[in-house]
Amino acid sequence: MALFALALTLVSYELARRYVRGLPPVLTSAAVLIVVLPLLHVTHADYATGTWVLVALLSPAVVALALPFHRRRAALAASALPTVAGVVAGAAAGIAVAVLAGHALGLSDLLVRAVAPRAATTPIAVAIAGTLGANAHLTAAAALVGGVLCALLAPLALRLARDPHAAGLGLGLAAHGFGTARAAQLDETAGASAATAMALNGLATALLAPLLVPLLLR
Amino acid sequence: MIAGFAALLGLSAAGNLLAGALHIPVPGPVLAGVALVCWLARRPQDVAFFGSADRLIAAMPLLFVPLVVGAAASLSVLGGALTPFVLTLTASTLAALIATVAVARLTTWLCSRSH
Repeated sequence: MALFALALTLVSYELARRYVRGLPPVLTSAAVLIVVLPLLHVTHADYATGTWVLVALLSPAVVALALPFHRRRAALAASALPTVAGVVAGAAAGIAVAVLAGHALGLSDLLVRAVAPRAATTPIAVAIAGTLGANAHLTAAAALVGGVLCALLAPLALRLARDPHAAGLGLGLAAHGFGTARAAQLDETAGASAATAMALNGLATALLAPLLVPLLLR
Repeated sequence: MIAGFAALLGLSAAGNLLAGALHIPVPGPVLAGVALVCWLARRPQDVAFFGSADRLIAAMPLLFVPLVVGAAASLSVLGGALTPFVLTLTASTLAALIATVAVARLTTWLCSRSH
């Protein structure tokens, strides 16, 4: 049963990657599995047991992000001050607004902690959720869905910012992988800046969320 | 390739041990990633050794699938809070986007004025 769940996940992801256009395969294949698993009498516990190896691989994948970051160090040094200032401000704003808006709307502390790290690239957001004691499933979904929706704003952000570097930073920070891919399609500078912001924000949110969330929740 | 992959696994385990032992509230793999960035800055020739990193990154969306499937089961945790949860998510995302663009532009402008 455990191997069946793993095989089903790989097959649905590969089919979604090849044949579904317009939506990221992670979301389409997950949607298919949510419908199909109960039909095949695979329980959530069985599914989690069968696919734990995929989730376990997220930890070395976070370490692996060091390599693209290493390759981007020259671009980072070229406009270090605006880049770092923008990323720190954006990371802090994302966390603070998640906590304050969540509280104002009556979300429980546990749900607030699940949203707060969502701007970080998904594997790092999931790791931070663990540190904050939040539900990692909800954080992953929030990071992915938020990223997909925010990437839709890419053309608008580029037009309004009138500065491809700044717009790229914003898209990479707020929509991580999805924002970076979309920014790169629209403008080369924006794509490079987005990749830098995504990498830096992983670190910024990992450092800021454990500090800001308990402080603001008090 | 296997050696590079084993090194990534070892680094993330070491990061977790360190974060746990020293009570650092930062995810262990993030600490390990920072250490690896510092290492590569001193020894760029080691990039080739970590070639499996790029394959792992390319496969990363697949690794999220079980988490998103699990999120459907966690919807009961949300209870009636789905709408405020989505609104909070939207507000946080927009704030992050706007603050980054605004501060990056402002800093660029201040830098160009001081030159």
